Amino acid sequence: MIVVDVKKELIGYKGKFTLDVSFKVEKGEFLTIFGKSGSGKTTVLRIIAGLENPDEGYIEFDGKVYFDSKKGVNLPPQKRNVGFVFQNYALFPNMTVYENVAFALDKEERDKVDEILKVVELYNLKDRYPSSLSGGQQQRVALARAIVKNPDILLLDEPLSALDYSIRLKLQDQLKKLHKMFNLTTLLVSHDKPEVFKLSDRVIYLEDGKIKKEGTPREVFIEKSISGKFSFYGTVLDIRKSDILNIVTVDINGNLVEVATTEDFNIGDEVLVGAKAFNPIIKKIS
Amino acid sequence: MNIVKGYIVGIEFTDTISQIKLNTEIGDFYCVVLENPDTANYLKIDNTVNLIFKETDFVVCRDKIHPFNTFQGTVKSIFKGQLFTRVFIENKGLQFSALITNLEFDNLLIDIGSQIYFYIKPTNIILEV
Repeated sequence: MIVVDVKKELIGYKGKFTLDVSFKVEKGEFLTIFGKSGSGKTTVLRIIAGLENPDEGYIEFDGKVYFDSKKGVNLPPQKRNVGFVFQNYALFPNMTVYENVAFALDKEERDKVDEILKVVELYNLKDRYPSSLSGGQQQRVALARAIVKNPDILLLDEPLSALDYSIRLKLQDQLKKLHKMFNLTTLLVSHDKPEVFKLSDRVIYLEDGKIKKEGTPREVFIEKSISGKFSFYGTVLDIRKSDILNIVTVDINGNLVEVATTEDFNIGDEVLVGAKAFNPIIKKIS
Repeated sequence: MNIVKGYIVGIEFTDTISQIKLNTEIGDFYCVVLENPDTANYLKIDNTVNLIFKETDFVVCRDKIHPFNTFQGTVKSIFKGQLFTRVFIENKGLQFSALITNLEFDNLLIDIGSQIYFYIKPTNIILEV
């Protein structure tokens, strides 16, 4: 189990605010920190990885103290067994795919590289350089590099946000598979609700540095907010004007639905599609 | 989408369904939800909620067809399309819109300034907490 209880003064676009979070991550759990830009999400990951120091607090990994401001303990990043995937891939451009993944490994661990490259479907590209890969492929290299050392926690800082929609969906599936396959403990930072729903066991909703809500994605985003039992999160893919209506096509976890509305939306908007439980028809498919 | 603020004045429930009476500025509404006070903590007398009415869920009529779930308003504007008409009404400073087919609209024989009623079924009101 990972225990995080930290405070740090930050400067956001509205001025100074205090990041003040306390939470635990169970082994094997997929936890997401959700929040708007500037809410302090990325700082939490960087503090866990040791890339930034909190003003005060305590971080523990399975009984091993990584940071304790009272006792003056502060393990440097290289002594913390964390895997970190950044939004911008952060690969070494002068190294091949294989060399990038093997970079931080000892010689005797090198046989794991081939195995992990096969899992992320990059084995055939192992001698290529990052510049010749697509964004999705580069991010899979970064992911392979982060998990090859069998980290105590995998930290993902909006890893898919720079990718095309269809690649993003594919990589979400792969991320979920890897999390289960390697029994990883994963902490994701995301502001994409459909992504949070798809991947997370639990969500922490961060606002201005404070935890506003915590629970399953359903508890945090849906329950007690709207009485529609027939409600789903989705992303607007298309908007067609028809007569005095807008016909909005929404992707709900791969299922496309159309909703007739007079409201205006933009492509890419994250939306809640809902109806009363009394309204949909249900019919057996014979 | 139309939203009006209301507060809960009555709750009748079975093990899974509640019928809620809500008081709003434009009148009383009954609404049914697949919850009861044990499963949804917003179901408490005096709690404030938003009532959401979808524009296509209104029955627009010249006369009051039910004593409840109906509110009256003055027609402020009308936008007629090829198949649908959007009718905006005003009641106590609040604006509501209904989307009805031209067939329904033409039969109503209404114009700007007319007094009309909007009715919504209890199963069509969505509550937002």
